[in-house]
Amino acid sequence: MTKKVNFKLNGKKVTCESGETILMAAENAGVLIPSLCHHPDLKVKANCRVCAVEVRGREKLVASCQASAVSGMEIFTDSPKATKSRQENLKLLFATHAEYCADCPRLFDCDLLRLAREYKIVANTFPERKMRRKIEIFGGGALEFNHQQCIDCNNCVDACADLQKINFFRSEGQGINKIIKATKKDSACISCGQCALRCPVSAIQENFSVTELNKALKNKKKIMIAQFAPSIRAAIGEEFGLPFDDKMPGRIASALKMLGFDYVFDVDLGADITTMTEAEELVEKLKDKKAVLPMTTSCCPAWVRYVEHYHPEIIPHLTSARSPHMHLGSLIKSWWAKEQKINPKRIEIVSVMPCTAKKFEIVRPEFRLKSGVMPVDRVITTREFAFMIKKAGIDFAALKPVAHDLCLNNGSGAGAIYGASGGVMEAALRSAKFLLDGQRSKKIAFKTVRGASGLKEAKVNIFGRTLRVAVVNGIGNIEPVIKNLSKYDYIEVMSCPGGCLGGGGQPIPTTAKERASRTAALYQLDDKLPMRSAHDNRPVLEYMEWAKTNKRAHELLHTKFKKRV
Amino acid sequence: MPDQKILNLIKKANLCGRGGASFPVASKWQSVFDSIKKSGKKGIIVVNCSEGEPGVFKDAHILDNHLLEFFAGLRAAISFFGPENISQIYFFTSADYGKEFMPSLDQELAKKENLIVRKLWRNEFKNGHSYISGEESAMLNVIEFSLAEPRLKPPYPAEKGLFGCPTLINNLETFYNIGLLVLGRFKQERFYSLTGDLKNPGVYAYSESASISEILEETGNTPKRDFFVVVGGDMSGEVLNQKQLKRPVGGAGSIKVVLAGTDPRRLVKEWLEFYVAETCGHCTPCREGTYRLLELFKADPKNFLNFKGEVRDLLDNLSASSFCALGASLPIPLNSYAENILKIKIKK
Repeated sequence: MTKKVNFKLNGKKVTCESGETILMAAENAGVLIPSLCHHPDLKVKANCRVCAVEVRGREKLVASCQASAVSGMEIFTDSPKATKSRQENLKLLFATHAEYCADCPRLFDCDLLRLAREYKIVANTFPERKMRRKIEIFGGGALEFNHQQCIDCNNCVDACADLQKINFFRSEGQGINKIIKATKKDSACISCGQCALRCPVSAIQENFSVTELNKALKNKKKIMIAQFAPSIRAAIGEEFGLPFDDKMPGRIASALKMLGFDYVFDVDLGADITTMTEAEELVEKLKDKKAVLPMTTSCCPAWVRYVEHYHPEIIPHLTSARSPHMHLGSLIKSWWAKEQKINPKRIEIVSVMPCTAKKFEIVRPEFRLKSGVMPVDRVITTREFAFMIKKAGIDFAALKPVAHDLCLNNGSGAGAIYGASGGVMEAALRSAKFLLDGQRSKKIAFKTVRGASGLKEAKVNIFGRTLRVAVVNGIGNIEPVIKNLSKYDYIEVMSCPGGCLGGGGQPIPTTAKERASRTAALYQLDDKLPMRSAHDNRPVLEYMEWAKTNKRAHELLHTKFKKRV
Repeated sequence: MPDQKILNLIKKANLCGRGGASFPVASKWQSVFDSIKKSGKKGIIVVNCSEGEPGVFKDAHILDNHLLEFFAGLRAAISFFGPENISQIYFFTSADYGKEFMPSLDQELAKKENLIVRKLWRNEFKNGHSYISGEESAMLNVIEFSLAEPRLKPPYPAEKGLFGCPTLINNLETFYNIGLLVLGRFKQERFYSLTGDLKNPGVYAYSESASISEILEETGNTPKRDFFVVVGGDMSGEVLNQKQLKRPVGGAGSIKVVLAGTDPRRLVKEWLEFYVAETCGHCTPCREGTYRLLELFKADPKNFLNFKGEVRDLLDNLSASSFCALGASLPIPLNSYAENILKIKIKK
């Protein structure tokens, strides 16, 4: 039993658990203390000082993100002294943050602007002091670091070092000369975007594609196609204060149409192609005594970048199956274009992704189709998508859901759960048994591979043998698996905690709470779908057969990897 | 059981740390001892000889003249904790001090009675040594990975200090005083560093409770003209006028004499520039606030000296919300100078 702590918050009696910080306890009591550098996934740094509160009997203010509530404390979150100090610190921070608001994905939910209004500060009290700093593109073109906007909170450094264990950034210099620097070559950044997800002021953000996309949407010669990932539907509601419901995919399709897209397709279908391609490869490898095992997933482009840079010896283990949106893009620009009698060169495909690394993935030359086009032309993140909706003045909550366009179909439940850690594994397991013995398994749910733990291991019996599987939930948990590769037959790796639904392009904030509700949303969708397994998706099997008989399997279904230094 | 005899001596002398914060030595030792027992980890002793405060020279004076007593103090600490409970002794100082005093430290370490110290001894002579590295937790970060930024407290160093071990950090002068205690020569005195517009600058030993005027008088340093003083550290100490000299010195034990008529702009600029150069940059009020204060000063020094408006707000914010004592220090000389010398009323 933990001890209870009783204290007074703004004059009201509050009880919390022993050891809880003042910030946490206040939040649970319904009092939101503003903070910029605080993120529940990261260690406490207490450097922005915006969350400082007054405690009776103490002359100095107390950083509420750091100090635990203690019995008998009398805390004032908005006393004149605390308010004054918060105003000062906000003014000071504003002068380190150049306002590039027009094309900032957080224009409509900017914490700095909100606090400036709330605390009635004059944002330009002091002249900007970082205007001469650089704007850098990094992560293979996926991300942007605008040093003119950095408020020196170090969240990016900690997200990369402590959460992801990549250590790409380091804080250098002293005092006002402090600056975040890349410590390694660009290829060492895996483009996961977990830094951007935890930057309180979007100094690090996705390499913004909306301006260019808006131009393309106005080009009448192009056929504009949007395809959206499973995780978008689980999270987009957060941007508009809407809880998840099963109308979300319809609303997304409706919004994309209003933004000017000619067709809207569902990447759940692409996920089914990935599952079948990958499960086939797995089954072949299991039958072949000389095959390289374990096989690992490769649909997470940040994981692929990690392998190519840090562990090129693992390249033979990666499945050659394309990732879902690259599969769907390949299908659209080959089979679908042929059916519709459209020149694939006229098609522009835009993937709406929870991911920043996908921006890098789409330019990998290995994916180029024979017609000379790339399967996907552009990637926007969930945040960029929400920005476009808000900028266009679309009332997302009031949108009438529309059915998206059918390219074959909208995919199975196995495709929907791709967004969650363990989802790819579960989708493959559902179909592997079918591929091995042709029997339809009654077992659909593989609950041992679900959940939020960093490393999930399970033994699954299929076809008279035990399949040893592991699910790595967040690249920070990869080391023990790489050290013991031979312990496993099949490994799923998602670089972002929670899987794609916790991806670097998802709405801010993303914490354990949001990851849990998005996970629940995806499994809820899966439960309700009539078709739960990829192998039940007949049109997918037919498409794959078509690709194989036309000797286009490699061009359309597979990819290659290479060492990056 | 710890060597209670030593602890009792310290308790009886009511010895307080000489680094500036005047923390009671006995309770610090006791809590480090308790953490060693509780955690089962060996403790680490760190000698803070950082001496980054302008106007304070006592550590150099001790290194020059009193190594014998200092090592006696260090041996007393080892004997208190038990040699089996201490894994290392870090001697932390600037590269300059290290270079200057290494030969004499080596000589002392070579002595037979200091064998026990020599076995545990680690030199930490840091290049680019800064003001903040004297702050105990920043010092630990510097030793561990060269990042001169203070740590969150709790945990305190006594509990989880260097490399996560219970750590005793005492000032060089504190160990010197303990040395005097065990040698039976402690006379409730401390060192005073005297600088500024005076005849006989230098380091003097006087009673802990001696008043500023007594010290100036006895050292023959009371100026004939009107003057004021900065006490406890030139950069972090308080500014007092001639009517306020009946109090003890406090802080790091320094007195700087400034003759009346000294240009206020020179003094204020010196304080501001020092903090802008020395802030580590961890927290907003100190990193940004000190810079903006200097900016306001440069734009309009006359207006700055009213200590009103934005200047007042920035100073109050430093006192109220800075992460460590460094940021909260700048307002001490500035506010006391405004109040005691310029006679500007400051609302508390």
